[in-house]
Amino acid sequence: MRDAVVVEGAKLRHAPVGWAAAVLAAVVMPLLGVAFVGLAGTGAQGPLAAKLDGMVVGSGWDALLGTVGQLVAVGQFLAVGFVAVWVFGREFQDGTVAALFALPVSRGRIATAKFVVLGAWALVVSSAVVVVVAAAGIATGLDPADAGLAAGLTKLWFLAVVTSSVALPVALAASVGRGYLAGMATLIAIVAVSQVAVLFGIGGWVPFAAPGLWAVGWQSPETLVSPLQLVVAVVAAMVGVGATAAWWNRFQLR
Amino acid sequence: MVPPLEALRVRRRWGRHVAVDDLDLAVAAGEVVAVVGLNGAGKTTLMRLLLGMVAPDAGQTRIRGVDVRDASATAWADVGHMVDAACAWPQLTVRQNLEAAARLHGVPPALRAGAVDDAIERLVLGEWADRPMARLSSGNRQRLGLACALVHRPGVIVLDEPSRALDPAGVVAVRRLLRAEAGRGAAILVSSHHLDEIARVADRILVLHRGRWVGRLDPAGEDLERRFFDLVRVADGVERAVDA
Repeated sequence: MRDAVVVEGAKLRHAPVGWAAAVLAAVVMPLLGVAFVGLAGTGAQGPLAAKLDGMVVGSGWDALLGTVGQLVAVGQFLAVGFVAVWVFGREFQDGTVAALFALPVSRGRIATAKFVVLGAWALVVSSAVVVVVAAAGIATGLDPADAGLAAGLTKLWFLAVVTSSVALPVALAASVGRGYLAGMATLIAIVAVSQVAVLFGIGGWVPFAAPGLWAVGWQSPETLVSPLQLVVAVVAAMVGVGATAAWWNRFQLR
Repeated sequence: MVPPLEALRVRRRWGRHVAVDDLDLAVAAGEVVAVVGLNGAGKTTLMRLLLGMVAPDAGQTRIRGVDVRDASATAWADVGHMVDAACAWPQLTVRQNLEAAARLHGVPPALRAGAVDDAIERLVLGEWADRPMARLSSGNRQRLGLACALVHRPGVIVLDEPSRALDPAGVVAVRRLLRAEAGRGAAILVSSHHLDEIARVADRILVLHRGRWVGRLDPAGEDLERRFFDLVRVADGVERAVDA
């Protein structure tokens, strides 16, 4: 198992897709949040300004962390989902999956190793999000000694981690569909279905929408997602991970 | 003595097409067996069945006497193959790919560096050792694939067209390599379209046509191409007669 993790780690570490997605999630999204907060404070008029007013609530760290939280809920989901689709789908797309048969390490363990590496990657990216947001906030003049800052950053990190976990099951679609296309289509479909679920007021019970709704709830007077719903989201993600490993243990070439 | 690699009345369909039809095969230790046939004859399907990549509809394939579906990690650690794809990834260098292959094949840490260096030397890959696979020529990718399949010095080797894309020097290197592996006791199954080349490395040449064995070619014999097509024509004639 350790050898499979090392091999999967090397494959991701040397892949441009992992680095590009990490930059998108850990740098672009937080800095976009900083820009949104800055633009919302200018008093500009127009449709974009109206959107930003709805997104940026409060002031100071609350405004920054809340805005970045909403962006992370989407950006982290897409980044982790995209990398998961690549990690699993590329073996089928490139035909290298055949080389993963007839080895002393089972394919189920190889799939588990892929998830271990994806999880570690997502944890690093989640931590980087927090560091980038904190640095950017301080650089824009926010008080680093703010009493609620540590709790806010912890909440943001937790959001990024939970969002990452609910993106992992797209690996199942990339595996069963044997390539990138099915995985990417599933990723997009999940985003669309989650939006619809939110519109119908049941988003809290949809694992893929729950973390995002939780982030929106930071700035609203009422709590939109309960802790139970977040637990359900994480459990659903783990079921998806287990189902993927089980599928890898059993599948055959066509 | 139990052959390291065998198929027992194995059969596999793809939809309505019978790819492998009631085949028996045994490859002994120290023996190179070549399977030749036209495209679609069933060579790759047979190899996939032997490696557990697909399950048979009937019959059994075995590694050292054990059904491949029940084969242990220890049994698989003694198998090297290159069927459909090499155990190598484009973004990794030659050396990194060999290290990955050594890990996945269970080479102990203390022996890993030596195994990688040895594989690089045997497949003459030293000049490209630090180059990503994506930037190798197709011939050198083939050499890398073979090096990855053999890095752990397996006792059972299954290679689908090992000489594909190789230049004459590569063909000679692979020929010597396979004979050396057989010399140390490995059971080797290879497929090829190049009859003259395969005759130089194989102990036995089996002709597969429409999923069935239709005859053998003597590796020391003359005009293998004509004899191969004679066997195929006779098999087709028999089939037509049976159909009629």
